[in-house]
Amino acid sequence: MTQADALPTIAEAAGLIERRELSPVELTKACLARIAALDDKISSFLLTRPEAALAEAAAAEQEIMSGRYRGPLHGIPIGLKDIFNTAGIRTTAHSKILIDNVPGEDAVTTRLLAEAGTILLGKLATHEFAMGGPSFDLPWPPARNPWNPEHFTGGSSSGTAAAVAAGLILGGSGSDTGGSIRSPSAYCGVTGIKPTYGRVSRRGVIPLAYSLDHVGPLAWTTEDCAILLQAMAGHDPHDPASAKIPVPDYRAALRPDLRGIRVGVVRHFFETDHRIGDEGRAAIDAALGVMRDLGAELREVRLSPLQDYGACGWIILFAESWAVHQNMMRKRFLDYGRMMRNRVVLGAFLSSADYIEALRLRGQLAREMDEAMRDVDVLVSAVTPEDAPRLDEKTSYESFQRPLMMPFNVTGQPAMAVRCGLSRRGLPLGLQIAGKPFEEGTVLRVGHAYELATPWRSMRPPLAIG
Amino acid sequence: MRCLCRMFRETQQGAQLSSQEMTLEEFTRLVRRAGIELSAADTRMLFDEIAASCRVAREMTERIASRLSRGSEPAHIFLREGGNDAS
Repeated sequence: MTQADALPTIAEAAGLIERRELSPVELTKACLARIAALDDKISSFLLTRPEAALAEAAAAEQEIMSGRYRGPLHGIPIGLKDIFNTAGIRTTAHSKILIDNVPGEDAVTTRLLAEAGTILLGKLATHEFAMGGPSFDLPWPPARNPWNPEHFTGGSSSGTAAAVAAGLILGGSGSDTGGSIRSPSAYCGVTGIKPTYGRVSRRGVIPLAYSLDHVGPLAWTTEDCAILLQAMAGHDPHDPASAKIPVPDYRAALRPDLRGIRVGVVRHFFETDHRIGDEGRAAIDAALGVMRDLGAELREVRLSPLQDYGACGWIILFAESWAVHQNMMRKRFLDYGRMMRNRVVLGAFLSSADYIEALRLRGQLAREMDEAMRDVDVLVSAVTPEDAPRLDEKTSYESFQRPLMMPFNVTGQPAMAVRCGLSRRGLPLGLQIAGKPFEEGTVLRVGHAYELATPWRSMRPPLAIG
Repeated sequence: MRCLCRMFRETQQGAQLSSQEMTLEEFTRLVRRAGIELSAADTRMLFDEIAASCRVAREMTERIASRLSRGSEPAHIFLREGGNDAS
């Protein structure tokens, strides 16, 4: 397996840039060269902006050299999932519907990342409107997994995960309505965190389901996610769901041990409710052993069956996504990709009673989760049933039946995917860590300590090293 | 043509759950009621393509209804004797 020495993390690059040992221009050129060399194999970008990125990098370098260093994202090349509005830059949601859409304003998170000094290399592949994919009937092909391009990336933040894993960008943005940050993170072997509902503004991010949508970062390491989340988080008075809760210093809370951390293992989610593969279970057990060795106290937690959370989340998702898309679907149904339209149209056939009952169950499940979290700091479970399937093995409805990530969209609590192994096929295996509402810092602490204690971060996809 | 998935039958009162099989004609009325303009051939194709997903969605709504407890009712709503109480 190849090593990652040649590809810096955000934290490593930031240290070099701050000490003026690494030029943002040179780093941006290196990323652009990697995109030129590798992206035709993984199709992670829908649009690149090399000239503009180099101009931004030159400006960043000038600022830094004149003593105006903004912080650890200054001069760092990133990408944005193509549902994040970018003023003057095409934003398509990977769809024919928005193929000529050029927003007039940035999304709040686009602006916050730019103000932190990031260099925007381009817009990244997604499933159509963060829902329909992987699809081959859209204006652009789906992203492919850098560990094996015949395999699925997970979705819908597919381009971001693939580009990070391949070392084309150092980090990027994603959104998560039913697992869309965590599944591509797991399948592509990167780290991605869905923060608490309300922690990060969604204004200017094309919606999928109002009460389930979350925005968050993906990067190579947990520490890098902490750096990105720091820039993205905060109250937005113009996002009705935004919470006015102070944002702690995420990076400062990272430690190499887990002393005092109580880990609840939701074993029935992945052993009986939806039994995952043997390799995945063995990897999770090994990871729990590492956490215990790092000082964590482990205990088993029982919740309602995974299928209750899945049914609740998916019915809400179908209803809300139909509400978002109904006007356009009435006019241009066949201009959507088949997978997108066939999923969203299900919402048109639900009744108001179905939606209301799902919301009632959601309240019930949230209270159950709140009770269960009283005696633990984080929950550990599986992210995906197995390593990444081949792209041609995917069916249009299987994700409905694999709701390992949906519980934390239903409850809105933070949840992160980290790599916990490699399968016999050489594909990443993932672990899910969820925390209490607005305690992303604890989730990040657990992921960071685990990553420091294991070798997975030093292993890049063979394609990334060449 | 009949579809084994239970779906949402159009009635004079509007869409409602039905445990009966769904016909293409009923499905076509539902699609029209949703305001989606499709040819007969495209409606038939959609009918064939989403049958499995509809079956899954149907099972989800049934599961939700079976799992609701009285505690999930907002306080101001009248609780029908024996209704929706799985606890």
